[in-house]
Amino acid sequence: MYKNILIALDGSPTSNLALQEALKIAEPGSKITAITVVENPLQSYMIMYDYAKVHDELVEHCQHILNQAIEVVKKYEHIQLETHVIDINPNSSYDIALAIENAANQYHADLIVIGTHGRHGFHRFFFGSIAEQLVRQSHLPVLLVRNQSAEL
Amino acid sequence: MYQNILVAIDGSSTSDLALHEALRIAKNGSRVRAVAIVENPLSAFVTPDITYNYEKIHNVFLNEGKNVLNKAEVDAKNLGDIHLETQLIDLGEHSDLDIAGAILHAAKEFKADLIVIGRHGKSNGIKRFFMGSVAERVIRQSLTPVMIISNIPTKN
Repeated sequence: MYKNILIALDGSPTSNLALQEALKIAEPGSKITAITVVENPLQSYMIMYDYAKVHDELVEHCQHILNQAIEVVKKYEHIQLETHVIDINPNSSYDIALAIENAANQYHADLIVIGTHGRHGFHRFFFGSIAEQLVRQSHLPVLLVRNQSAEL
Repeated sequence: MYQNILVAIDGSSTSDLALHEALRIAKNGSRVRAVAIVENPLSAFVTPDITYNYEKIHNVFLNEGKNVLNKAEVDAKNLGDIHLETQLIDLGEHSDLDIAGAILHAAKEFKADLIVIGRHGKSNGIKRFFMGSVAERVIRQSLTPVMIISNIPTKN
């Protein structure tokens, strides 16, 4: 049995499917640690803006995604959920996969679950670059969940 | 709970870990099937002249595949008294499938709801930095959840 399943959420339909898969593999007594990684606004928006304001909004958005997960997991009485917003220092090298891997180590996860197509664009032939990097790096088993409907 | 767990094995240490992980996930009532893919020797050894005996090499590959599956069956018995189903897929001469394609085909046939595979298989050269092409192709093509097992054993 997996004691602590780490799932990285980004609010996409695929990440919701990944959460369902984590719940499927979880057993009574398992803990699910759901994380969202705050994007570096500087990477996404190349325009002038108030960094702090955008950042705060992104943090709030991440918390919102986790709140939705809390609602979903509430129905599973025997499964404990822990949530964390992972905020990376904008001055450090910005690497979402590494942030996920570090969180998995920090929270002593024994399995990582992730959707293969997150919000960073859907490509039929390329699985998400974050998932790909995670699979290459991680020493933990990584369960990749695909958005089936996206294929059609 | 997963009903049908398919694990692809090739006798490498990573594939042993993948098998163990599949057995760990399996619950009472789960079916676990291990598949070993026998490559077409012609695709494994590309030489300008075929200086080897095709049948001989092919038989060696077949035997190796059988051994890998037999060993996995024994492992499953020892580890959790789990009955492991085994399937040998011979890509032989008529291979319109590559290894990844054969795994996906077997998964479909088995109605697998989970595929477990090692990150690196046997035949990959630079193991440390590059994910095995088989694992990569399975991930890209599979609509079924795929669990990738690293070559470093977990603590449990």
